Amino acid sequence: MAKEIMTNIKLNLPAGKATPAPPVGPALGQAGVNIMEFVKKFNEATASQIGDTLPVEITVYKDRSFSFVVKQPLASDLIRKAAGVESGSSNPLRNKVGKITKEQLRQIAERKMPDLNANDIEAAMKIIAGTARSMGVEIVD
Amino acid sequence: MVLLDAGCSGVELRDTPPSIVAYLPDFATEQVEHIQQRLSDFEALGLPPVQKVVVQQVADQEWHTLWRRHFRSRKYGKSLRVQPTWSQHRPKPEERVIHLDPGLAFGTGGHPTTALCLALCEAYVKPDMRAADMGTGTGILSIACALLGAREVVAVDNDELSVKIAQANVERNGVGERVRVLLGEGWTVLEEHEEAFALILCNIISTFLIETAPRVPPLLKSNGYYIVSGTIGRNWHGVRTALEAVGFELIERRKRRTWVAAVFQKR
Repeated sequence: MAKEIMTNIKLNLPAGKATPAPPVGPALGQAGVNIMEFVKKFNEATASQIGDTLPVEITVYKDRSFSFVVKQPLASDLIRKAAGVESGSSNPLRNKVGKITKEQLRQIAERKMPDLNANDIEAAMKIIAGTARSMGVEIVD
Repeated sequence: MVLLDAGCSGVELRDTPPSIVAYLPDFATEQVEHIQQRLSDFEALGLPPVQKVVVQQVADQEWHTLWRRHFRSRKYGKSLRVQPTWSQHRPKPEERVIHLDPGLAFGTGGHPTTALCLALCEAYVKPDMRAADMGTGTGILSIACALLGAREVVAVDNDELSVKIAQANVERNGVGERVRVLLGEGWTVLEEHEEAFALILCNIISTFLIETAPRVPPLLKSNGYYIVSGTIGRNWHGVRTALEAVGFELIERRKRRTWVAAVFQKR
């Protein structure tokens, strides 16, 4: 029989470097999950992706055991890498910090497609383009 | 992205109501205004506007004790028992009891990597051995070594808080004369000790085991044991290859769920 699910928790965490500090502590502590156990498992599973911020979905069962699924890196991390910039603009309306091509946009959208609420690649590209705009990264042909 | 850029170490995404919860340390509260400014720019950037921003003070660490009610007295191997300080359980006289308050450090025995290490300690720690425990966390494995008869244990952690917690647990268990807890980064602090160890424990993660493999043999006596844990199945091959490349021989491997622990011997 499948274990009864108590709650699902979604976090975005630094790969290989999660700590018991918030948001992990408050989110998991309230659900009765051993915080350090999660931190260790997450860091071990994501050690090869240090530098990325990864969305993780944690399922907590009634017996307080848990499982988790790590998703693709945040779109903003993928955009940063594609544009070759350290960080997004602090004022994306006025200051643009970099550019990515439409092809790069498509590649990022394809990689993030399983995690996005998008029916097709065009819709996924629109979502990623929005993230790029919010970072001050322009899309060029 | 706005929240992470502002210094939040991660965010929580809630479905009901749809919201994002981010935590900023006290010293970074001036970032709140900056975050609000950037969120208010969303509409001008053609992004869905953020409906509402709520800022609340969170009591420090109130979450920390919430999971404790699920940490209960538990037996490991043939004779070891891990007993939380708040447990009312009465251990049997023949059991070796580790009294533990984990605080915010790692190592309660509940995690498979620690449980595997406890069982391996029971099998490989012999009276009068001199042992080292790299990444001691709560001090649980060092205390186990001392209770199993080790003459001296050097416990190391790079986290100041863990060192304090481990020291308190060592004293709580009456093994302070045999267990020394040291603050230090990686193997450096052990390299400063002249005498080689008969046994070294390392329950960290596979990348650490692989990257630091060449530094371990000089710290061990000939035929000394290196007990490693903290690696998941898919990373095991890399750990084994790295340790065999520096002269270790695999003696035993144990698995629990997806986690692997193993004993290597210096040749």
